[in-house]
Amino acid sequence: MTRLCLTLLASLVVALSSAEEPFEPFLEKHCVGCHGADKEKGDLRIDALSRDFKLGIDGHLWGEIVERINSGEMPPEEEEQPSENEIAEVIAHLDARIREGRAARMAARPSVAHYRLSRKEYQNTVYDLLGVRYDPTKPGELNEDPRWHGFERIGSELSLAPSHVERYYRAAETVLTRAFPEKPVEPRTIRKTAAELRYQGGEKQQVYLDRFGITRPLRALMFPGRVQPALQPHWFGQTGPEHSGLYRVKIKASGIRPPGGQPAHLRIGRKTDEQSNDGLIELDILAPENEPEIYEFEVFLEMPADLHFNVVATDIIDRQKGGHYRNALSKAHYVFTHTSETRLLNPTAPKMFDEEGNGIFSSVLLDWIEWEGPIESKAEQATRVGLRPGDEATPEEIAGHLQRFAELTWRRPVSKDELTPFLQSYESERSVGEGVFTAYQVALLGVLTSRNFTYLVEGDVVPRDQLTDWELATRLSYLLWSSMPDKALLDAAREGKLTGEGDGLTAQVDRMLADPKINRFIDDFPGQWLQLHRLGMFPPDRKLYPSYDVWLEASMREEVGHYFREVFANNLSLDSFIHSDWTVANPRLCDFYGLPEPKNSGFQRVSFRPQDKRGGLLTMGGILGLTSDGTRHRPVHRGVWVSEAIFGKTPPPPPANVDPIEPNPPESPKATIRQKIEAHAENANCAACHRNIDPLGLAFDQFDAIGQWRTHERVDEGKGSDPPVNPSGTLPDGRAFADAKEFKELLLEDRDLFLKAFIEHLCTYALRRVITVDDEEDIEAIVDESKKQAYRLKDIVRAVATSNIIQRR
Amino acid sequence: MSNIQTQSWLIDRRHALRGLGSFIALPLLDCMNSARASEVPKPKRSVFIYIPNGVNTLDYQITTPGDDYTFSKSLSPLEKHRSIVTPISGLHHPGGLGHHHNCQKIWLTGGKLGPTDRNTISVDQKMAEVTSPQTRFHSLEIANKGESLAWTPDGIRLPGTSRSSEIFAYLFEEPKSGTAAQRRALRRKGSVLDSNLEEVRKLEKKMGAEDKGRLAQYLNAVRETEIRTQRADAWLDVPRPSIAEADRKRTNRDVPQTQAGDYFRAMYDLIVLAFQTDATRVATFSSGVEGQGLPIPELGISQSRHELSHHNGDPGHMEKLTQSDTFAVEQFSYFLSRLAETKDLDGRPLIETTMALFGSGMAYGHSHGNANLPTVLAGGAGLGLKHGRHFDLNEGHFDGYKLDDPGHHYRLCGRPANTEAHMSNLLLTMAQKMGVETDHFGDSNRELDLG
Repeated sequence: MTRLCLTLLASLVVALSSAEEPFEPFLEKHCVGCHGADKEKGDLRIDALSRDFKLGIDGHLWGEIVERINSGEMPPEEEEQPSENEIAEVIAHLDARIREGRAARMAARPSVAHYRLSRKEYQNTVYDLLGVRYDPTKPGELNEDPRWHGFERIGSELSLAPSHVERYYRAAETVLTRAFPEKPVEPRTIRKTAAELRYQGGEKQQVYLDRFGITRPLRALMFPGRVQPALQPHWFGQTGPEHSGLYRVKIKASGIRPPGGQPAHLRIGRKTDEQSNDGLIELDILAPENEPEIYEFEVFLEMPADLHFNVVATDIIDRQKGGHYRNALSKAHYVFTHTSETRLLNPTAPKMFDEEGNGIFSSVLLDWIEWEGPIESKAEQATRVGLRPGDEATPEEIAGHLQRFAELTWRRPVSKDELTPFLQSYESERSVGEGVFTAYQVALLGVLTSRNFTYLVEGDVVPRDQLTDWELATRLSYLLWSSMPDKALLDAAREGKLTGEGDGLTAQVDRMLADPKINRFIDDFPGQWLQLHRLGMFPPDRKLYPSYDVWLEASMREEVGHYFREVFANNLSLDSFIHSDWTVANPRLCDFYGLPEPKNSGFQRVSFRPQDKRGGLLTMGGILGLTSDGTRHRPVHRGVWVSEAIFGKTPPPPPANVDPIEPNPPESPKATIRQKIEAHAENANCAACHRNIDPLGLAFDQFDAIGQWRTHERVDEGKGSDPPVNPSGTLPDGRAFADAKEFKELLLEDRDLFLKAFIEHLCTYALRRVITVDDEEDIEAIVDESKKQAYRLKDIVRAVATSNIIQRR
Repeated sequence: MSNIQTQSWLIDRRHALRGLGSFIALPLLDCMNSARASEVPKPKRSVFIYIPNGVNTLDYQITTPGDDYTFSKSLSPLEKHRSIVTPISGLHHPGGLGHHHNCQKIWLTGGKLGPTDRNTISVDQKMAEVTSPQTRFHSLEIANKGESLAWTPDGIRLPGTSRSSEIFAYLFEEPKSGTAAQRRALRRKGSVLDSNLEEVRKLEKKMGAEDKGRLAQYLNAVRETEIRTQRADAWLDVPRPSIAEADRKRTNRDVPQTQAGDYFRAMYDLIVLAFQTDATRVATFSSGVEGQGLPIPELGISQSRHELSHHNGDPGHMEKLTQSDTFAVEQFSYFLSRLAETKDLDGRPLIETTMALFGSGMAYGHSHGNANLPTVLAGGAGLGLKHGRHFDLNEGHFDGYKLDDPGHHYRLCGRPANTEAHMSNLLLTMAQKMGVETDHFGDSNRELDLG
């Protein structure tokens, strides 16, 4: 590291072997006088505190010391004050040591370590194991997983409480009932026409149409601002959880797009209020009114399901602005067949179309919707072949069956002895008169709720450093597939090919990278690495950001995944994450980015021109938006995010009691957030850290809270006009940049720092633990290999999956 | 059932005999037959209500300490409850300072918030450890967005329920499958849990005394689940309470959250009903997560509380925030009225045995000020709480409220004047009143003198 991007970041790497800690001189000079052998103010002797940060004996006191120095409380005013640089250094050193200690404690591995499956992994695993679809995120199912810096699979975070046990038990019951239903569940089909959906059968309306001599059929006009039923629990007749599964949906519809306005966007999902729903299905309806199309897709439903249509647009007819409008349009006597016949049929109703017949609002015209399901594929059924013992099975056959199931489920060989308790519960069910299969299911329940299933278990009673073949197979498959190993991988493990000499491991990894299940890695990893869960946590104020809606937000979230997929599939360099002249966008995003509208709906690769000011992850709407608070952008949070996601470093936390940034007083000139932060940071204590963080975020000041390009910052209160934004800055090592574009160029110069951080993120994800200084050597080896592979993404993932660290506990 | 027949299972026979509106009709359980049955103490109850994003603190702050205080604008709906409420000023969670909206996570725990810090048990769950052996349900978590205020000892948030019909069914409706089928299901569950425990114990024995990490936690969780399964089994013989028609109508319905007032009242009615029937003695109600506090369409307020709290000094926004605050206080006042008019099984008002804490983990939302937290404690006279004063912990630590100098007051809401006035002290004191035997909770440093 000859050239340092950030002195702070570099200084975080503190040599472990140093005899004297680099912060000792500062403590000696400024602290020990009052908190030492001579005086012991506040009962604190800093010279006597434990320097063993790994054990963390005095961790809270060290934390307190950082806090007091950071906030300027210490040293007290009457004493000699340290300089800004001295403060910065001592805080960085102390913070790094505290953090290392914490990381070591978080990464500590007892001889037998247990890493709980995340909800997502549980879902994938039961699907691969039994061909069963089960949604653990449904309210009342599995608890949400706690995240550590975005990662939701960190072993030390995923703990277990009684409520988890209850829920795992219920989940296992559900899964088994779906795998082995009491009687087979036949797929059913239901179609609802516009007349049924919108006009209670439409007989009265038909009379009306006949009177006018109108021959066109009734259509349902769906306008933005009011949800309507798309699937109701009673439509299929008796419907229960046993009908959950994959459903095929067909919709015949067309869209109305106002001139210059948004294409009609239809969202189907659970109703959240009278004008919004969850996004289970998202569709741009581009078919024009005279050429309706049949849209078809498949979706997994937990039944009974109650779903609603919602036309998502920024311009909506809501209760406040258009209560009357809304009511009139929703009544059964508002009859719709065709734009050209609307005035005739509804002479007194509010206008939905102008004189030329153009729509005023983006709307959807629905002809019918059809649901068919649950559909089960042959492959899904095949997973269960041979799992069910015959009704006449002997106890030995039962034991054999259970053993085979347990080996699949626990992802390793299982001895008969281990299964004794489960066979006992089988026997006790039998003894109270239950049939063979009913009793056997209790044993299956035991195996499915066992720690051996819900946790990835690594290690033995006798400590060892290397993983076994079985443990490695499991780690690889949860890294690349977010699920259990398949047969080929288990076979390789059984034959000892993964840890042995030869290219067994590489061969398996290459096979896994080429398997479609790699998409689960692509779906899971980027979101966790980039902390995408924060997007929309504070929904943007509709008044301040009228162009924002839930479809834009969903599109932003998807863009990140699609982009990652494209880089992965084409094995492009990591540089593409920092900058590129393309992205993968849908029409909604193209409109948002000011790009020409693509002909097709859906996500597709599109090019940026220099004047578009975009390229790479950092200028994506989703990334820029995730650090905002709903009303304003937050440059410091953006800076911290860049530091974590790109450099893998978390800056020291701010002191607790910072004076708030006040609203701009009406009588003073309008000021940007940057100007206010800068006033803040004149204090040496603040500046010590903020000079390292803020530039990383301020570089993106030309993008507002939702990631829109701007040249001036909107300030509501204050005198004068809105102030211009300033995206320039200087990195701590003195390199200056004028704007985001130049900032990204500097990041590219530091690509080796990014590469290392990226590998650490991947390893955290793979190993389900925090990476520590002890892993340094293994990480460096992957870095070297990745450089040889020209920083290409898929090669980096391969390098991690075949590395030394992946084979170590 | 012999394994659960302990003193903690004593149930006051009078509970079974009195019928007042909604009542529990308890059969004569074995566990009620005890020489000491007549000495069974009165139930003790607690409920915690959270409003997100703090308040318009300029219109909220009461400025005089002690008995002779005047209610502020937004607290004025509590005037009629003066004798049973105590507004408290000056509290803060040291672990919440500077942590913005995460304050909600530690409101009832007093935990720390940091990348490697894990949350700790919330006070309601601590209380439930003591009260749950006597009730069918451990505790009740209501949360309009699903994220409850309750946390387990391992720092895991308990899921909350948002729909009144769902809560009603959970508390009061007999599962359709019937007692025999339920009992069979519970026995199966017990058997499965047992086989898992046995499998783990084998490994545990091999491991000896070394660090067992997750294993120990797993064992505890499974064991605790087993105990709860046994309790649930015992409760199968106790019919669910029959609910008076008027109460059923009031609570067993789905109110959309867009009808905010109605929604609040339905939730409060449910809590009253849960307490009245002794379904549980501990409840939490989160009326919004920090990012999505309810808009109040009936007052013409379309913004979430988060949007309002970042008012940027705009007088119109601040006025709306005050209206939204006052609205939330009005609903709380409704709740207190309901608790006061509803009779406990011994004929005394429910409010006497119920402590209700209302507040936020933030004071000044615009700048995320997490000190001088808006807090109102009510009820619980039977547990020894005395009311009637403004309990001001800022007093003696500052030079008075200066509401005409907003910056001055906002600073008080961001930096604690009295650094010793930990919110955990209040939580500790409440826990003690509930019968939790402990001398500390979270980062408490003393008890509060609440009478």
